[in-house]
Amino acid sequence: MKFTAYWADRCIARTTETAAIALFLLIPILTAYQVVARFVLQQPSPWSEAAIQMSMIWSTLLGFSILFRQGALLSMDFIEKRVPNRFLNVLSFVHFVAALGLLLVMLFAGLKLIGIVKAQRLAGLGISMAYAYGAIPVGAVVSILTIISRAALLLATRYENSHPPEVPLWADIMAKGNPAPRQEGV
Amino acid sequence: MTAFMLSFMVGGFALGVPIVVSVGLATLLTMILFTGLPTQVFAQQLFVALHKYPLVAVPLFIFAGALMETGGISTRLVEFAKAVFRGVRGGLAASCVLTCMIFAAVSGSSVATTFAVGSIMIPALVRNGYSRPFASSLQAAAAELGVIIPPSIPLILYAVSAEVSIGDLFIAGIGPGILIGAALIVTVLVYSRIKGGDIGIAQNVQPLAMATQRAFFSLLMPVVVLGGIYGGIFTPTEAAAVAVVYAALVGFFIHGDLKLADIIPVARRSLISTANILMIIAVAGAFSYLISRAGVPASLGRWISENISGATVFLLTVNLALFILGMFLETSASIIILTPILVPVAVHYGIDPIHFGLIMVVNLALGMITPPFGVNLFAACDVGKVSIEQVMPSLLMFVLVVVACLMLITFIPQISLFAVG
Repeated sequence: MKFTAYWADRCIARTTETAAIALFLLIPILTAYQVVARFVLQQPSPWSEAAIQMSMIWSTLLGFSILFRQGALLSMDFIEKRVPNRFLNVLSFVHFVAALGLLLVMLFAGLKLIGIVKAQRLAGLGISMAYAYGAIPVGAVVSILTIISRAALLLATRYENSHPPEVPLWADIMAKGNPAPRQEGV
Repeated sequence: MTAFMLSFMVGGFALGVPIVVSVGLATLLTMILFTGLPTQVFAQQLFVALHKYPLVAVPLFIFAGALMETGGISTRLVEFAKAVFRGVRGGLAASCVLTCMIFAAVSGSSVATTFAVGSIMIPALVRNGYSRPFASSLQAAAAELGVIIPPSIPLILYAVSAEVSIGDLFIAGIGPGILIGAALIVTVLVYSRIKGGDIGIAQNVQPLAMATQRAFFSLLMPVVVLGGIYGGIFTPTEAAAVAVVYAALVGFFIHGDLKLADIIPVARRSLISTANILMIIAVAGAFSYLISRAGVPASLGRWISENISGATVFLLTVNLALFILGMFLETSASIIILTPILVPVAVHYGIDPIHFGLIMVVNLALGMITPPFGVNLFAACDVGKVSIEQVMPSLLMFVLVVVACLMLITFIPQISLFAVG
């Protein structure tokens, strides 16, 4: 059980992160190519703009799961820093339910949407719009898997040590026990 | 309906629910309970909010900023700024502001500016006898320039929602940025004179010529990026990609501080910032769709024009409202939600939308350094290793200086518009 949980968690994290970072790196590469195409090759690229936007949207939605794993989602955390552990656990459980609720709607609504738009074509790339809108349900499902696999892994490994862990369970699942992440706003 | 949506969202914020989740769920529940729209519309609006080409500049400027931080550009800018104020009493504090101004001219984010400049400047200020709270609050206030001096992510977001030219907005950011920078420099110089702070003979300061030479390629970067945009050579988005390539090349080949192995961690960190900001923009887009659909902008606009007489009162009210909202709301979400509501009213009062954009962004930048929700203040306290309570007294002085500048920017449109074509 422990091994499966660990393996599943690693597998999800590695795959998503690799894909998200690769797509993220494509953004500057394709945009720089667009500049080169116009000035050096004297031939504006007809497809690059659409491809750049797709890289951005897909890397954002896949990167969304990293935020859950790292506890890096921007929030006003001044209350949770000042409450006792038991209350923090309850608050974190609320965050867990809220996040899961939003992600589930993104997943199912996104799937319905794909059914509606699949006949449309994405200008510039000529592919079905389903590949563009697909980022929403895929991003949601990856984030759901991330949260659930993290919860499973923690449940399987948390009570191995004799002394109780410092961070309450639900806070740990929402990654609040991580060393304070940088506040990554503008 | 609007009341439900707002109170649900604010309640979520207060309970520490992540901002994306609070805004997203508030929108979703309102949609289900009050409108009868199918949930696909929510998913579609998330996509529509992100499917805007100018937004591509956001990840690119974030990535460029992170590359500069790792590639030794910020270190050299600090050395240059120190050399400029060599021998001046309070010069080290002034050089902190100057470094932020130059860094802001290549970075679009104030948090990135705080991390890049603050990690070098705050320890240096503390070594030279400034208190930790003073150093951190100065850094937080000066790093605000990151979003005022172009390029700027909030200005890009405003341009996207108000449908104005990013290039014009960028030009309009220069005047206010220099005004606030100069005001902060004067403040710290006067403060040091009164308090007898650092005497200005900081050790290990390079002569100006040498520092300029070492920082040459760092100083050239704003010229390439901004010159490229204003010269019409490339679009702001392409300029952002040029900034990434330039920062990478200078970091690799000229400074040699950037290693190939750094690229993935830097990209990962930038992706985390990008995902955070863009996901907030996506849900804020859906939120603002619902608000517009319910006719809130029109009725609010009518209410304002019936109850507020004249542009002056309107501007004062807007400033006060934005100042308070900015304390509690996240910057990108505020811009996406408030721009479509406020800009038509501003235009109705004869205020130029470009000028209004600067008023909004300077105001929200203030929100970033005021508690309870000031990401940039958090960042500076994080770097300076002090608590928010400790920085409050010294922060107040800088906030008042910026508020005074904001009043000038609000009532003298020429500060923003003098160079706009």
